[in-house]
Amino acid sequence: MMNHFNGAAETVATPLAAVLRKQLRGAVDQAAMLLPDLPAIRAGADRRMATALLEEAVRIGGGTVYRTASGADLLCGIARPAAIRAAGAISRLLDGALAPPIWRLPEESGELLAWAAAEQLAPTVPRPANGQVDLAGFRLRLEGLGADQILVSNTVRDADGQPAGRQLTLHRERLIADLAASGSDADLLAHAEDRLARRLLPGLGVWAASGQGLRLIPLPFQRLPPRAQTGGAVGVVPLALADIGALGEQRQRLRELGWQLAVAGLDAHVLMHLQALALPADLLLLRWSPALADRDLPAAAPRERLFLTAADAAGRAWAACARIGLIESAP
Amino acid sequence: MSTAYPPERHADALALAQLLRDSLAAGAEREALHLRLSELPAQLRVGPRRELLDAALAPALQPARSRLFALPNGDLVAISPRQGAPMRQAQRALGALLGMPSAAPLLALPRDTLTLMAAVDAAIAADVPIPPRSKDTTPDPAAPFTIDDLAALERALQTADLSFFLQTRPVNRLVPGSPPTPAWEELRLDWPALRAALRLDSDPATAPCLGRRLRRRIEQRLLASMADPLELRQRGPIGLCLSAATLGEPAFLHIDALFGAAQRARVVIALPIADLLADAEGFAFARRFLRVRGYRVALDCRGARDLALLTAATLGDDLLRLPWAPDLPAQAALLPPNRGQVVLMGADRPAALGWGWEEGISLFEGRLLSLFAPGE
Repeated sequence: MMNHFNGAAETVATPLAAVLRKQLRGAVDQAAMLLPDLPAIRAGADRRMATALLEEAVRIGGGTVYRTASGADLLCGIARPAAIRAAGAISRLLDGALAPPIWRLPEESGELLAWAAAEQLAPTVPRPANGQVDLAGFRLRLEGLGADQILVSNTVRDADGQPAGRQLTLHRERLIADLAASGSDADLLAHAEDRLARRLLPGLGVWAASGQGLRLIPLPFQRLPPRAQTGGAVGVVPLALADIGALGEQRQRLRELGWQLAVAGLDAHVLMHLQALALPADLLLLRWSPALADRDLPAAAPRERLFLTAADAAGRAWAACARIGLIESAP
Repeated sequence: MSTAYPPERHADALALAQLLRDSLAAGAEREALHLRLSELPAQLRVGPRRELLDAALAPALQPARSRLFALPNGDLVAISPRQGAPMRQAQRALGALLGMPSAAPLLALPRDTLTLMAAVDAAIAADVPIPPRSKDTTPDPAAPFTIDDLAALERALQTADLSFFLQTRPVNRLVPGSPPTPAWEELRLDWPALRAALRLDSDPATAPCLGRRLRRRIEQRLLASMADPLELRQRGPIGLCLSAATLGEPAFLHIDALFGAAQRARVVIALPIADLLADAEGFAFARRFLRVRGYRVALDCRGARDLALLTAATLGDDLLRLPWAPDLPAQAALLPPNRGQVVLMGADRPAALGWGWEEGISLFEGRLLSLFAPGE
C-alpha cells in the first residue's frame, strides 16, 4: 500500500530538492501537487483518508508521493489531468477550505524547486501496529492512577465575568500522558474518564451536594449522585455518552435528587450538524475552537444555560461578546 | 453459509408469495383459507386426527383452479377463485373439529394480501436455521463488560474468519404500480451468533466506550475477511454500516482501493448518528471522504429521537436509515421532505410496509418484500 511513499530509510534528513531534481529530468506534461499539513486533517484516520486519495491518483496518473518533515505531502511527476482531479478531490474532502497548489512540469520546475529548497524528507516512522494496544497494561495503569493527580478545579464565571462557582473535572492532557505508555485511542480514553468519574463519585458527590454557587462534577455513565443539600449541584455527562433518547428522564431523576444536568462536548462541528442547543439539559458546555468564531449563536440560543470551556484569549472575548458564561481552565 | 437458497421445502411458500403478488398486481379476487397447523397441539397434526382435518379441508379444493400450498412450518393455505360456498363449508367443518375458528381464518384477496404475506414470511423465518446456542452462554444482562473482556475478544478476533457470521438482508425498491425490485443487499454481522460463539457473557452496552472500540475492531476484521478481489467483483450492490472511525483504518482503505469507481457507486455506506455525537469533526471528514470516493452515503438513525436532533442541512442528499418501530407513525413529521431518501429498516411487518407506502417511502429493508420480487 505505502510503496509509493519514498521511505528514505537510510537517511534522517534528505533534502527534498535533491530528490526532486532527479525526478524532474525528462518530465513532459506532468505536474506536482502539494497537500500541506493542515489542522483540518487530523493525524491518524483523517490523514490516512487524504493519503488514500493521493495513492489513487498515483495509481491512475503515475508519480510519487513524498512526505516532508514539515508534515506536507507532495505528489510529484503525475499526469496533469490526474493532478487536477486529485486537487479537486482534496478540495472537496476539505469542504473547499483549500485548493491544493499545482506546479506544471517541466514549465514550473523552478518554482517547485524553490519551494522545496527549505523542505526535508520525513524520516520513516515505524507504522503503528494496526490499532494494537496493550490492554492489560492499560487496565493496570488505569487502576493505578491517583485520581487526585488528574483532578483539576476550574472557575465558573457568568456572562458578566463574575465568579459563579467551580467545576471539578479530569485533566485530559494529564490523563493522556499517564496512559500513553500502553497506547490508547479516543474510545479507551473516554472509558478511562468514565471509570475515574465512577471512582471519584463518592467524594465529589459529597463535595457538590452542599455549598455555594454552581458546583459541577463529572457524572459517570448510568450513575446517580447523593441527594443535594443546597441548589447548584450539577452532574456533567459527555455528549458522546449521553443517552439522547433518555436525556429528559435523566434530568428528571437528577432533579428529584436536587441536581441539575449538564451536557459537555458540544463544539462548532456539533452545532453545525445537530440541534444540540435544544437538548433537554440544564447547562450546555460548549468547547472553544476558532471555528466557533465564524459562527454567531442563533438568537434563540439559551444563553443563560451556555458555558464556554477550553477558551483562550480569543475564546474569552467571543464568550463575552456572545453573552454566555465561561469555565476558566485551571493553569 | 453456501447452502442452496431457497431450500426445497420453501418452494410452496415462494409459489404462494408469487401468486399473492400477481393477485395484488392484477386486483384479482380470490379466497384463501389458512389452516394454522403450526399452532395446533402436535397430536392433532398426525395420524387419524390429521386425516379428519384433511377431509374437512377437501371442499376448499373442489373449485376449478383452486390450489393447496404447504408452508415450511406445516401450515396449509388453500386458495380458490371467489365462489363462496365450498370455502365457507371447509371453514365451518374445520372450526367445528378444532373448536376455534381462529385456527382456520378465511381471507379475502387482494384485501388481506399483507396478512397472508406476513404469515408466509413468518413461516419462512421460523424455518431459517438458528445457530445452536446452549443455555449457559446466554448473556447475563447484569454482567459488566470489562477491559479484560475486550482484551480476550480482540485476541480471538485476530484470527477469526468473520465471513461465517456475515448476514445479508435485502433492500427492495417499491414504487406504486410495479413489483418490488431488489435495490441492494445489506451486509451485517450476526452479533448474537458471534457473541455466543465467542462465549461472551457480559454486555458491551454496559461500557459503551469499550463497546465502540470492540465494534471498530470487529468491523476491521470483517472488512479484512471481505477483501477478496474476486469475491468483491462478483458481489452485486451492497450496503454496509460502519463506524466513521473505521473509514480511516487500513482495513477499509484496502477494500476501498479494491473497489473500482463503478463498484463504489453501487455500495451504500451508512454512518451511525451516534458517531456524530462522539466526534462530529471526524464524522464530517469521513462522510466527505465517502462522497469524494463516489459511495452512496447513508446516515444510520437509532430511532425518531435521533432524527429530531439533526439540523435541516445535515442530511443533504444522503440516504437515511430509519428502523421501523410501532411508534414511528406518530413521528412522521420528522421525516425528510424527500421520502426517496428514506430506507425503512426492519420492514418485516405488514404494518411497517403499510405505513411506509402511505408515507411515500420507496426503499424497504426486510425479507417480506423479497417474497414479492420477480423470481430469478
